[in-house]
Amino acid sequence: MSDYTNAIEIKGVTKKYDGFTLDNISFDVPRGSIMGFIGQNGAGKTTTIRSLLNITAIDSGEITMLGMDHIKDEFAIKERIAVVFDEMPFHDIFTARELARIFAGIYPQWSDARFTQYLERFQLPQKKKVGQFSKGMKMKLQIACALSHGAELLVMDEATTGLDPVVRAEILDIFLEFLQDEGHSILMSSHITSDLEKIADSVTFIDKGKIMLSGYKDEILEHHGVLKCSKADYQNIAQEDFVSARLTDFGAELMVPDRASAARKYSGLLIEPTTLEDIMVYYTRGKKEWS
Amino acid sequence: MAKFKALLYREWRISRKLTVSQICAGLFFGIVLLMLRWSMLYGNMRELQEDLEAEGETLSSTLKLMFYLTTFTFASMFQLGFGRSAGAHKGDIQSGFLRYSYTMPITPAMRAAVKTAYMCIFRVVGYGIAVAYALFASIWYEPVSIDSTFLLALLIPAFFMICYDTIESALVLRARTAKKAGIMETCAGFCMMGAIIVLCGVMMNHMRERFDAVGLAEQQRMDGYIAQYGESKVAQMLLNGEITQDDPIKMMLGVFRDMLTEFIHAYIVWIVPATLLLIVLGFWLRKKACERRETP
Repeated sequence: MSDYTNAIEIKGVTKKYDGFTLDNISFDVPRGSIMGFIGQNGAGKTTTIRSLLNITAIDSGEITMLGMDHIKDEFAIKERIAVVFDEMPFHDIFTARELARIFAGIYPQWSDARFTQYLERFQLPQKKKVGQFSKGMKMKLQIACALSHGAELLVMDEATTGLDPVVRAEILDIFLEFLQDEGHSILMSSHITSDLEKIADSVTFIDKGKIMLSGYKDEILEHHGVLKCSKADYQNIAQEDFVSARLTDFGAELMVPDRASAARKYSGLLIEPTTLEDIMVYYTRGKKEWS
Repeated sequence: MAKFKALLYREWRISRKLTVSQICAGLFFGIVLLMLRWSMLYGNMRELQEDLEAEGETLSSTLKLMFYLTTFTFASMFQLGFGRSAGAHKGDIQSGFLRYSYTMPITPAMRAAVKTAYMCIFRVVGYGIAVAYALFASIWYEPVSIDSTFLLALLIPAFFMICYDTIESALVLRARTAKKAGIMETCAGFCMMGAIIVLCGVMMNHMRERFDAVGLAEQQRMDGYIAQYGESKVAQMLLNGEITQDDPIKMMLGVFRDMLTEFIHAYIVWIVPATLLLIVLGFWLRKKACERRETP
């Protein structure tokens, strides 16, 4: 069962709600990599993750995780994955030690030694009620729980949202350590794209329930660029060559999906490297021109 | 088994505060009983009891019976409420654990089994404590001899609590938001009230027939006296105490006990299997509720 190429494979998944549709989405998370799953609030990130975890029943499509069917082998999969949400999901009355007792019963591969190591590393008290923890401490505790039962795949839904940069950096280091094992993979949903730029190998960008981009992060960043020009030059640029254009008092800034081709075609114009955040902004505008 | 134990521990841990407070309330009630009995033996109520005994033995017995029934009722209500899971489910929703739990390797059957087992364990504990209270009260107040009738009578509230738990679980566990859980809890309360009304109807019908029979027997007895001695003689006999005014009260007490015995013996045949069936039904309904995946 450990013989799989992609930790997650999503093919043609559709889920309809009133006013929102997850529309025929497909992407893979290669084994041993970290994928950033980006999109604005309400784009469909959480719905996709819930579909993966079979919390939400999909209308059509196929999902495999760790080489197994996400419905048929649901409980076998769930013993080998860990999930981290944006909010700590434990009752405030528990202590870290009590949580360890519960997790040790639920997960056959639970390692108490590893959990204690994480607690010490994160400087989390073992006998203090978690209700008295700060947001950062709660998140660290959730991550300590997630990483102590031998999971091969870590799924995170906005896990770093609301945390200060120091805690975020500390947590990102932990994720990179987790990936040291080649069999481990991470799917990390976030709208903090700077975190993903630091650690992600690949990126999937979803908007209004549709996948806009999916691929290796470096390739996406290499291919995209921001073309800066005057308003007069902007009139000469073909509509199909850019995603959307931001018009300012001083000129125009255009997101081009093929930087090399644009550079050749519009050789006199300046094309700058871009960021995931800019890509997200230009793709989600919904109209060709905006200011 | 390890998963089951871990989840049972979790269930206990999140309900511990409520259960401990229920036990404390039960103990507090025990202390009140002790003070009451103390007062009847050595305090102000001793005078009252002596006055009642002077008035007639039956009035004293009636007072004792009132205390007994009060003890019996409260003992049942307090102890048999142990282990209800609606509050725990709402806590799971509010803390986010419900959503998180669906990412864990826990099957709906296991969730349902844990909830059912937790309910059963605390029902047994509650039933044991209620029986202990009932015995305690019987020895203290001595209104009736101790036999299986009063102990079996405790099965009625136990049955109701399990019935309530089954209805509540079926409805509340289906909720995926705290607001919905609150609404479902209210619905369960109404359903339970409906069930109580139906059972009360059955009991009242049973009692009416029994009291009608008593009334008739008493009427015939008095008619017999009047026919034999004449109205004035019967009145004279009442004044002389040859027919005591306590007789009807004594008779009513006897009737109450006989009626309860009859009721228990008539319905015990189905109360026990119905309780077991409800436990199985409760498990199935919980499992169905846990199979619902949509969480907020």
